Amino acid sequence: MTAFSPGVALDRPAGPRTDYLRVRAGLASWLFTLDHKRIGVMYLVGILGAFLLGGIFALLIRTELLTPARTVMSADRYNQFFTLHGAIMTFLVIIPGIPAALGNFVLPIMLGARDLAFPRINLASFYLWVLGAVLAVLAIVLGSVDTGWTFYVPYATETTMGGVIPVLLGAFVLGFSSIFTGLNFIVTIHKMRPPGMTWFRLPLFLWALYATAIIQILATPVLGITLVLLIIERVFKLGIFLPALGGDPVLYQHFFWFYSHPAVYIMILPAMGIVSELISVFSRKHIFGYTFIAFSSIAIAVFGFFVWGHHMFVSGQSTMLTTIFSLLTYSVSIPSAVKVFNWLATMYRGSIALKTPMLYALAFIFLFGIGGLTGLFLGALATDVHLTDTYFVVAHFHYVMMGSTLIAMIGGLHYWWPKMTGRMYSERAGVIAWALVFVGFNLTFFPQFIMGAHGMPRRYYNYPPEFALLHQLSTVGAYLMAVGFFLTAAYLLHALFRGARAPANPWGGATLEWRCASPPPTENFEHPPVAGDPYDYSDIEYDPQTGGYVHVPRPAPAAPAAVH
Amino acid sequence: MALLLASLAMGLGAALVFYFAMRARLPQWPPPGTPPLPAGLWLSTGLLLAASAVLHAALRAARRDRLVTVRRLTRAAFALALAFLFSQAAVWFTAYARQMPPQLNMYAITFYLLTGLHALHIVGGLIPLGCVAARAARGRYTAGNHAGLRYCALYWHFVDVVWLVMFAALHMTR
Repeated sequence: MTAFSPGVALDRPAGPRTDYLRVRAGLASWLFTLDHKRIGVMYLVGILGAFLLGGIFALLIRTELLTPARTVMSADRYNQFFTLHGAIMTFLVIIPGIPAALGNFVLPIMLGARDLAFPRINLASFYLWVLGAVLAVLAIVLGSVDTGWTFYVPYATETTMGGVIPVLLGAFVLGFSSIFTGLNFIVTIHKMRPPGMTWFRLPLFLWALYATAIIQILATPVLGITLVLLIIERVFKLGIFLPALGGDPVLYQHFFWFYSHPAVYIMILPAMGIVSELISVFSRKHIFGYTFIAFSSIAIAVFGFFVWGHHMFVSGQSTMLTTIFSLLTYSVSIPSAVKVFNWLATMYRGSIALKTPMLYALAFIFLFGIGGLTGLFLGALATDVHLTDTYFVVAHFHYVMMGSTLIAMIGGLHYWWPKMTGRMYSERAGVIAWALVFVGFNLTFFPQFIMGAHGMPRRYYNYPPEFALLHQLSTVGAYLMAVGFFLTAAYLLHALFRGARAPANPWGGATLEWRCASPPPTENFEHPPVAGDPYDYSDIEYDPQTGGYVHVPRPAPAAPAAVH
Repeated sequence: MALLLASLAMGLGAALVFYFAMRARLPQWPPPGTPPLPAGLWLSTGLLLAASAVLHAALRAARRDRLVTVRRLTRAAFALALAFLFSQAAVWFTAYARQMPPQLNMYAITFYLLTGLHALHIVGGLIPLGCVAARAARGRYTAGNHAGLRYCALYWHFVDVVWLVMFAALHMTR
């Protein structure tokens, strides 16, 4: 759209400073790096690899469901594929996706800092992630798993599949990776803010990461204990959870969801943070209701701890408990709606630029709207009993996890891509791929709401022929989405090698990461920058020479621009 | 540091919740036929409390620049913590010998689980305590600079408190 002259880097005078990508070469310089940017890039590569694997499993599942009877695989194989799809996408992709990959890269630069507070712990968390991923892949080799990603007892302790313990250990190790990342982020945000950045001048993405980190360090240890107990139960058959030996299977569900429900907010909060940045920058307007958005992140993090029971409405827990959990569940909708209304108010009368990242942000609001509103039917007791374990639930959480979190992550990836790689991607290809993903996503999951409301249970291998049309629409949608994602991978990789040089500030953002070069030097900033209002665009102007935006400090804040 | 402790407290707290959930399910606790807990647990408790107190004294000495005292006390704390681990191991052997294998009943399971988890955190605390003792031997902790010692002492007070809670929980009978 905007015509840059490729290869000419006018904003970067040829100097001795090199960027973080070229400062050292060789495999060892990456594997032992303590630079948060390189660790972020390694996470990104790993997470996108896991996304590809989980995506292939998803396509296999959808292919099998193309016909009411057997299509391409046996029923056992099908059970393994949906389990692995769920486990990989949840633990390896969505939970670490935004904080560990994008957050690692952006957080210190947004703070004008040189690195995170504990760079070595950061590298250690990356290797823990790798270990967890290896264990998950090992599970496939060692006889796979078919328990579903929630590992419900008694099935998880009784199935003869050889991959159950490796997957459980993998999730356990990934939990530690998550805790260390959270710890690192909290300390960094507390201790390393630059001069001028008060708590209420923190970019909203960092507020979101902060709220996420609180959940990470408080909820994840409980998952650790739960998985250890499950492993002990599976190996020694002690009767902790097994009803036949006097154990309590519902206790397992309580423990599991005490982590896994807050984990939903580990997934969605950073996505909301990204969207807050994108909406403001591409509307060229100050974010509306800054403090409300900031505090709603914290509120969601706190409420998130008290609603786990809504996953267990039909598990046989007491009616009293069920009613209380239902009521508390509705409380989460308040801070979520606060955010959505503030984004809409930010866009109102803004000068909106429909660049690829903004399109993803708009898709987020739309899909999160559907995902959030369908959640109300699941939070209401009477309708939930009808909808439990149907495709309605599947569609709901895909709208929230994939349609919201993953879409925001892809949006953030496009937004920070020029900063990470120093190259611009093709805007036209970006828009086409976005359209494919958006249409494909809705085609995949919207029919599932209808199926679920009509009683199609989730996880079934065969189905009555009357659901065939809806299932086929869903499968076509999945393929469409796959085309969109492969196109995205293709043009991003093309940009990496052939793309036009990116200016320091291609979008006109006011947060600190746009003040250093693209890609940034290893030390990010020579001197800690002084931070102002992260959403004040009045002193940022377009510079046609570089194709980017530059910071033009205005001397007097009161002087109106009379001379043109 | 406070964050790390909060995170650990959630994990160990969950184990205790598990213990109480198990306890609430059974009419008699410990279930009939469970042998009494070994008396060695009292010795362990004493050792751990002593380790915590000695570390506190070491911190006070560091604040007053008494480097030799700091060196002696950190060594003593390390020895006491190690002795705690041995004492706990002895308790496990005694319990096992008294016909209380983990398969016996839910009380036995929770007993080994809670003490085992706690022991893991003791092992995790011994490593930094060893580093602190080694640094104290070189006279690194002065009145102006003893943050490492302080964090270490804080952690040991934490495992101490966790142990007291667990110990009390194990003695709650019905």
